[in-house]
This record gives sequence, C-alpha cells and structure tokens, in this order.
Amino acid sequence: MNYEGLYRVNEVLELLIPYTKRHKKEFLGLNISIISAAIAQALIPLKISSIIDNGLIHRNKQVLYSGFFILLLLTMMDFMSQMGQRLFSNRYSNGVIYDIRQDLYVALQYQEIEYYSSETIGQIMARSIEEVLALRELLTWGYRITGLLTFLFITSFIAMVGISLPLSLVFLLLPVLLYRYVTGSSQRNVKLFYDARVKYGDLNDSLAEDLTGIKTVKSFGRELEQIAIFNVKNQEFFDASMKTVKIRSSLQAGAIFLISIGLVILVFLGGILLDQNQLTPGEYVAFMLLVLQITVPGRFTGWIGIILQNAQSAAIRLNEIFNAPVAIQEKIDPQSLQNFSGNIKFENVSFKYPAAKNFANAHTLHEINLEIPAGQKVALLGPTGSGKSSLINLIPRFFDPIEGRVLVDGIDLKHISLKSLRGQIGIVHQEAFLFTLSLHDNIAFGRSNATREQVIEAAKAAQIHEYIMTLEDGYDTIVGERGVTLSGGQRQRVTIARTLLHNPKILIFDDSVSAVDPETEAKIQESLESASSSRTTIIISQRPSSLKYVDRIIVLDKGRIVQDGTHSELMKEDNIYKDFINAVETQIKFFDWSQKIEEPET
Amino acid sequence: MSARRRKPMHTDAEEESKRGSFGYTDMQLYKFMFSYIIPYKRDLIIISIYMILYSLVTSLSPLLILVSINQFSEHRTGNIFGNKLLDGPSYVIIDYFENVFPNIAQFWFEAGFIVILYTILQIMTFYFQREMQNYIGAMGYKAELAIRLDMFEHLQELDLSYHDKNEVGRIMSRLTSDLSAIREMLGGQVISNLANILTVVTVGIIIVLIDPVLSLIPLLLIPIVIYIGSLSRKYARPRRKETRRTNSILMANIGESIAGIKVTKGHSRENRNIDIFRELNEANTRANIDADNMNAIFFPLLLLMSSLGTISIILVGGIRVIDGAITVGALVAFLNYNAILFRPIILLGQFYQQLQDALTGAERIYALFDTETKVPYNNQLPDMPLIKGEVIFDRVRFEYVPGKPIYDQFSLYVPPGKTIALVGHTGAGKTTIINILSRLYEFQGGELRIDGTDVTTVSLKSYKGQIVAVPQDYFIFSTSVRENLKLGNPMATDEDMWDALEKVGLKKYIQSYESGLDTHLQERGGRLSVGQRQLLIFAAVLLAKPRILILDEATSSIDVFSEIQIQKTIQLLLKDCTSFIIAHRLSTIRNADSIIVIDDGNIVEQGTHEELIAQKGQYYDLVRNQIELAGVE
Repeated sequence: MNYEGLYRVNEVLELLIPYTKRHKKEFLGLNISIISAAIAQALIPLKISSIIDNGLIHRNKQVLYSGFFILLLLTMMDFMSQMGQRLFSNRYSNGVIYDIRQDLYVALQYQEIEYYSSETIGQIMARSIEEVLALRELLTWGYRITGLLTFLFITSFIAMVGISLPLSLVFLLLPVLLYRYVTGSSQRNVKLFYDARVKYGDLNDSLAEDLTGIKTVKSFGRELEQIAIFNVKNQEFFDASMKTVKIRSSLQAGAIFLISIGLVILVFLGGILLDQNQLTPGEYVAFMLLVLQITVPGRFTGWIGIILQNAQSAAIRLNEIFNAPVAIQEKIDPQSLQNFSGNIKFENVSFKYPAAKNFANAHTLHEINLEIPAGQKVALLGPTGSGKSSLINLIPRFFDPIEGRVLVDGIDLKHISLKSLRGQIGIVHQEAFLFTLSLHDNIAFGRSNATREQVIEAAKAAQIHEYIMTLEDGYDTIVGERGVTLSGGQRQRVTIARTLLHNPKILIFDDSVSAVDPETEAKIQESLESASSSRTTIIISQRPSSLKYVDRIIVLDKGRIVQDGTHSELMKEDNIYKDFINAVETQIKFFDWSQKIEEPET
Repeated sequence: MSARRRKPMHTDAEEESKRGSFGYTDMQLYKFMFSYIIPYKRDLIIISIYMILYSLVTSLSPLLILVSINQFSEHRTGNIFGNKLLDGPSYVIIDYFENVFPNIAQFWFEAGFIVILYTILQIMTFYFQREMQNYIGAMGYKAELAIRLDMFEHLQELDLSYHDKNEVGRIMSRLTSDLSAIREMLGGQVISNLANILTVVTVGIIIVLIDPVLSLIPLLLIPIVIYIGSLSRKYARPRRKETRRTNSILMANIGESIAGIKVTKGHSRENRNIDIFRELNEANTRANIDADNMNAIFFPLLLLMSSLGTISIILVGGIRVIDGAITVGALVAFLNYNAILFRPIILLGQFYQQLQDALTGAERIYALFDTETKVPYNNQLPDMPLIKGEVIFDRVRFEYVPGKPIYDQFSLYVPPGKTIALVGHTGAGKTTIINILSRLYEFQGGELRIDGTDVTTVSLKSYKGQIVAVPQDYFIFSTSVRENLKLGNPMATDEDMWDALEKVGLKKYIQSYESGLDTHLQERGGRLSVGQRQLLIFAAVLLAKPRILILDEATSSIDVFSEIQIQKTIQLLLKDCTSFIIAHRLSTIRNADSIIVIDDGNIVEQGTHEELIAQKGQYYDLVRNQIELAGVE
C-alpha cells in the first residue's frame, strides 16, 4: 500500500478550497468572529493586569470599578464572537458537506456501468458516508480550533511584547514546540489511522454482503459461520483501532504537558523579572493568564493533527471517486437522434471487458459484422459466454468496442449524445430490479411525469395490470427491497412495463421473459405487435417459445456469429441451433405457474 | 439478548419513517449502554484509580503557582507553604542544597524547589491522564466490539419477515453511525470528565479554605451552568434524533441507487435521481444545522458563565485585596482555580451533546435488539436427532399478515427419502410451504413434525444443520469460490470442494482460473453466468449433504448445454434425501415420487405424473397447456 499521500495535506486542501469559495460569506464570518474572539481574549488579561497594577496595588477602587465595566464589555464581545463562530461554522461546514455529498452522488450517477463492476456497494457506501464524516469533523471543529489557536497566539504574542520582550520571545517557543510535537507524531502515526479506516471499510463491506444475502445465509443455516466471518473483521477493526487509542491519549496528554511546562518556565522567568522589579505584579499576572488562556484550545492541538490526517486520508479516498475516469465520453458536440428508425449495424466489432483484462476467459467478441434493419425482430442464441450480453451492451453504449464501430441509422454511436441514444433504446435486464417505490413510480421510472393512464397502458401491454389491480393499494403499492414481495415473473413484467412506457424504437430483452410463462409471453408479444410495427426488437432467450416471434435467429459461439437465418433455414444446418432445438424437444420443458389455471376445455 | 424483549415489533423501518420517539426511557438506554462496560471490572477499577490520582495532581498544581507568586511578589523566604507538615520535609532538602552551594541565596533554592515539584506534578499529570485515557478509549472500543457483534448476531437470528421490511442501508446506519455515537461517549471525553468532577470537588474544598467569601462566586454560578446544561437536553435531543433519522434515509437511498444503477443508466434517469437525492441531502443538512445551532447557542452560554465568574472574582477579590483581606497571589490562584473549576463543567455541556448523541444512537440500536425474532435459535432445547426424513404437516396455520392466513389447516404426510414436487399457480402458497419447512418464517398454528419430533422442540441449529433450502433468488457472495462453497459446509476440504465442483460440471471452468478455488467472483458472482451460479450453489448443497432438501427451482433460462448439466445435478441432489421442489422443469416433475398440486392454500391433487395425467384434472390441464405453448411450432 502506498502511504505517501498521507503525509501531506495537499489533497484535503485542494478538495476543500473550491467548496469554501462557494460559501465565502459564511467562511468570512467564521474568520472574523474567530479574530474578534482572539482579540477579546488577549485584551482581558491586559485589562486585568492594569486593574491589579493601578487599582489593587494603589488601592484605588474607582479604577477597579471602571476596569470591571470594561471587562464586562470584553466578556460580552467574547461571548458574541464565540456564538458567531459556531453559527457561521455550522452553516459553512454543513454547506460544504452538502455540496460534497451532492457532487459525489452526481459523480456516481454519471459513472458508467463498468465502474460498478469493480466496486462493491459496501465500499462505495463507506466512502460516501464515512469519508464525508471525517471531513465534517475537520470543517466544524478542526478549522475553528486551529484558527482560534493561531490567532490567539498572534494576539497574545502582540500583547506580551508590550509587557516584556524577553518573556514573549520565550513564549514564542510554545507554538513552535506544539507544532513540532503534533506534526512529528502524526507523521509517525498516520499509517495506523489509515489502517483503521481501511479496516472499517472492510467491516462494512462484509456487513453489507451478509445483509444482502441474508436469505441465502438463513436458507443454508449458516448464521454462525457468518458471525464467525464477521467477528474476524470486527476484531481486525478493533485491533487497528486499539493502536490508535494510545496515540490519541499520548497526543492529548502530551500537548497539555508541554503547555504546563511552558507555563512553569514562564512563571519562573517572570518571577525573576518580578523579583528584580523589571515587571509589575499586574504584568506578571497578565502574562500567566495569557498562557493559561491558550491552554484551553491548546489542549486540543493533539487532536487537530489526528483530524487533519484523518481528513487527508478521507480526501484521498473521495478523490478516487471524483477522479475515476468515466469510460464513456461524449463528444464535445454530440448529435441527437431525429426521426430515428432503429437500424443497427456492427462493423468489424471486437470487444473485451476492460475490468476483466487479466483473465484468459473474459467474455469477448471477435470481428462481429451484423446489420439489423429497422423493425426487424431478432433472437440471439448461444451458450454461456458466447457474447450475447456483451453484444447488446454495446448498443446503448454501456461500453465502447475496442475495435470497429457500432452505428444506428448509419451514425457512429460515438457521435450521438448518450441521453438521446438511450432514450431510443429500451433494455429489459435479466435481474428484474425494482426500487423501493410504488408500482406506479417503478413503471414511470424513466419518465417520471407519465400519467396514471400511460402507466396503466404500459402495464396492460406487459400483462401485469390485472395483477396490480388485485393488490389492495393497486398502483400505489410499494415494492422493492422493503415492499410487497412479487414473484420473479411479476417483477419481470413490471420491468417490461417500465421499458415499454418510454416507447423505445429499439427494444432489447436480455433474457427477461425467463420467469414469464409462455402464455403470458405470447400476450406480451401480441401487444407489442399492435402497439408499434416499426420497432426493432432483440431477444436473448433460451426458450424455444420466444423464437416464434422473431424474423431472424442469430447464433453466437465463442464471440463469433456462427449461424444467421430463420428457424427453418437453421434447422437444415448441422450446427448448434439444431442441437439446441433437439435438446429442448427431448429434454427440457419449463413450467411457470404464474397464471390461473384455465377452465378445462371440453 | 432475550431479557430485553418487550414487544414484538417488525416495523423498524416504519417506526423510522415517522418522527419522534421509539418510546424507551433514558434509564433503559443507560442500563443498556453501561451493561457493555460493566464486565470490564478490572479496567473500571484501574480507571477509577487513575481518575483519583489525576484529579489530585491537577488540583495541587495551581497551589504551587499560588505559593510561587506570593513568594516572588513579596520576596519572602523561610516558609514556602506556611504549613509545618509540608515545610518540614521541604526544608530538609532545601537546606541540604544550601549547604552544598553556600554562595547562593536561599530564595533561589526555594524557587527551584517549587519549579521541580511542579514539574514532577506535571509529569505525573501527563502519565495519569495518558493511562486513564488509554483505558477509557480502549473500553469504548471494547464496548463497540461487543455491541456490534451482538447486533450482528441478532440480525442473523432475526427471521426473514424483519429483513423483508428493512433495507440494507438502513440497517447499516445502525451498526455504523449510531454505534459510533455510543463508542464516543463510553470511550471518550465524557468518561474522562468524570475525573474532572472529582477535581471540582477537591478544588471546591481548596478555594473555600483560601477564601470562603470569594469562593461564593463560582459556587453560586455552578448551579446555573448545570441548569443551562440540562436545558440543552430538552432542546437538543429531538434535533439530534432528526439528524439520525434523515441520515439513515439518505443511506438507504445511496444503497439503492448503487444497486439499481443499471436500470438508471438504461432509462437515463440520472437527473431525476439526483433531484431526489438533493431533497434528502437537504433534509439531512437542515437537520444537522438545526441541531448544531443548538450547541452553538448553549456552549458559548456556558463559556459566558465562566467568564462572568472570572471578572466577578476580579471585582470582589479586588475589593478584598484593597481591603487587605487577601493577597494578590490568592486572587491569582482564585482566577486559576476558577478556570479549573469551570473547565469540566463546560465540558459537561459538551458531555450533554455527546450524551444526547449516544442516547439517540442507543435508542435506535435498542429498538433493533427489541425486535424479537419469530424463529429463535432455542439453543437450550435438545438437538434434533439424525433425520431419517419423514415429514408431517399437521393442521399448520400460517399468515404473513395477521388475520390473513395463507394456510389454515394444512396437512401433509411425506415418507422418508421421497421427492415431492409442488406445483400450482403463483400465490397458491408453494413458497410458503418451503418457508415453513426451512424455518425462515414461523407458522402460527398446528405442528410440523420430522420423524415424529415437533420442530419447535429442538434447537434451530441442529435442525437447520440437516436441512438445506435453495431459494430461487439465491445470493452469490462477492468473495472467492471457496468462501461460497463453505456456505454448504464450512469444514469442507479442498478435495471435497473439487469433487463437488466436478459433480456439477464446474471443475474445468474454475480450474481455468489461475487462483482456482480462491478465484474472486466479483459483486454478486458477476464473473459467473446465471447457469454457473446455479451450479455453484448446487455444489454447495452437495457439500452440505442435507437430510432434507428444499429447492425452489430457478426459472431463469440457461443455455441449453448448462441446462442439461443442471438437470443431471438436480437428480444427483435428490438421490439420498427427502426433497421438496417447487418444480419448473418437466424432467424434475416426472422424476418426483409424488406431485402435489396446490391451489388457494389447499392440496387439490396428489399423485405421480402418470396418475395425475390419467385423472385429467387440474394438473392435466396445466401441463398440456404449457407443453403446447412451449413448443416451437
């Protein structure tokens, strides 16, 4: 692991400066109130000193009373600026956090599918939540304390110079020592903090995995083993954290120790000066009070180092998301599709998954040449790993081919804006993913302004309307992770409705009618037929029944097109297709029980 | 965990969608949190000792400052402390050095003595504070470790009806930010401030001894400070709670957005998603600002009290100095003590904030523990003997939603070793039978007997150890092949694993990867095709060697050649045990010993394929219908 970046603070500054610019007013207010607090806090000991010298020593109560009044004013000034500091700091830090989180989400939304194949949900979640929290600590608390400490040193030093130059020079040693102490130790220890953060990410990762797969875990009765696995991660995080505990306590106690020693040296030296009458008792007291005052924020200097290093490693991890290259780049001036007809053409296309480059059996495509005329219905067939899914993933440009090009209506995909392209293409994925939203919102997912009538129409075409009507809340029923459980077939039909709603010119079923029974599939195909005659349809299916609705069958094997033609043409060839049909005829029959049993025919 | 159960509540997420309280008293929550540090008796004793030592040395240091100021300002010698008990031994040392260096004035020896004494006190302070915080910090992490493990264990024990209703992101927020809040309280400033409270008492005594009149000022201000602090509880708590609530909703949204990214991309819905996220983000930010602003007002108020104390001491103390009642040194010491006195009390203000944070977190964690599993482990019950495989459903009643039974009086007898195929339309209740048998959900009435033993009278582990259920939407973990196979049998050797992989026809494929069994499968097994994922799960089942197998046949179509492999494997799995299958393949159904047709919570037909076909009832219609439709031409 490379820890180099951890020893600096460049990343965290680079990350935060642009956001700070967006919240200039709050930041300015924060700094002004910090400075005014530092001034008030330096003036109070000076005033006390003059009260002691002019009032107490000379036994003048008038000086005491007027001095008290000024002290009261200074105290109120301190109070106001303490409050101002925190109020500004809240708005500044929460504003920045809001912006960062929003930008992070946007970056994740615009990131392409490819990115998600190499990152787990747990990791991404840990980053977007935990790392942002680490920054939050720096912004709300760390900055304010650092600022206060810095300005307090400055104002106290100025005040001290007025009292005694030699003493103030000795005093100057204090910030230097503190700074050395904090930065010196934090550089040694930052690796331990980083390790603890990484272990925390791992822990959350395994947690997310377990919770997502809880049904499988329980079905196999492997709760105890999961606990054992989790316990290891939990323990690892604990061990890593325990190493940081010692650092934290030493840092904090150490900073206080340094300040106390500084105090005693100053008291001693001051005492000598006092003894030789180079210092009045009041000045001597002022000196002590100034030093004492700095101990209040000073005792936190140990923490500042920790927080800063923590924020630095968080910034590095966040930057990994912000700076992750988006694999699919739009041209600067992309075309949008007008009067799109739905013709698809592959020209000499070769493809390899970028994330899988190190593996010999990565699914790839080799020199595919294929034209699908507008309005044609095509079935893609082939064994696992033959490249069917890769082929269709290229059409909405989820990936770019490494060689050759893909065109629609004769235009290279790279010249078309992604939004316009994807607006014309509807893909129904194999995994029927539903969001924790109502059925209406799930169907209207791609077109949130769709009316209920349009949603119902799509649901009817997908043959799910009748079922939805049997639910108590109808289209307002919440489904998804936390909602009503639908069967696999029902889920698929909802996703089909979702795709049909935006009436795509190219419709792709990526093995997405697998859980829909043949009878329903027939009805869906019928309604597709009547809805639009000029729709290009590509079906990946292993079910012979699906083949009934297509004009053309393309058989892929090992990334190449091996057969291309109609059912009867291909049956004449001695090749995969014939084997497939024969195997199905003799051995495989699927049943789906998602339909009511029809009345027996007489 | 069982002692804390109060009410069955599976609507954790629903509770959270509402604002407001889960309805626990603070006392319950304190007991809950502190129950996790009580076991560390030795640590607690050590911490207490360090606390006492620490507070003693911190209270003594300013006394030395007082002495030295008095000394320097009045150039006194002869009695440093003005106390025979302390001066006696001090002067033994001072006199010794005076004799060694007779040319230096006594004053300097006294001053040097004080400096050295003070330095020693500071070293002790450093040491005690560091040790104390070491132990306290460690205890926070120890408690966190234990709570997290308990939570995880509880989550594992909770039956599926809980997990059905709570998103992963939402549960995760409990184990992350809510838990951190408790750790920060138990292992942080709050506990170490208990030491400062001891200091307050010692310092309180010292200042009364120095000047009882002047000590009235801080002693009068302290109750006001405590009152302000307690006020913040009332105002801060609901606001902190709101930050947690909005945060967990935000987390749930992020989790789902990532899981559904493919759909989002396909529908170009990024912008709308971003708008939704913006709203949730804004809500959380608003809640945070609102809660933080409470502190922004309370905390400076506490500081103000401390400052008012200081300047009042100057005023009153000044008058007393002028009147000759006390020395300037005493006044300065007072100022010093005032700071020491108020520091812990001000930190107490922060303590309230941290405490509110911790209580809010504890409440949400407690609510999780309070959610009772309907299918407990029952480890205290005897183990299930080795199952022969006779299964009897005796008038079983089952409902997901109270009052809406799926089954009322379901009865079924299955002799050992038989394969039962369950058929019927969606919603007929096939999956429910499987859910009851695999004990993923609890049934509400009747009895389920295996080999004559009521399943509720044996420990769950011994029961589940012999029964394996393969859900239709099984989950492949994004770990290695090996880890996934361990799902079947954690003790399996490499040989066993390769053997199982060979039986399901995956050996060659896995071997083609360099890392073999350690090949990483990517998120949700992304490296494998759907068919291969199924075969991998089957390999895990083979390793588990179940006595009863429950299989919800996946319907996702698989390429025909893997399909043949899957059929072969299924027959292999069914060989030696009693099996229940929700069947989708004609081959599976035909090979079953008995087919059960379920409709509307009832068994409507039962028999072999041939028998049922001959009956020409529902099954006949169903099968004929489907075979006709499934044909190509």
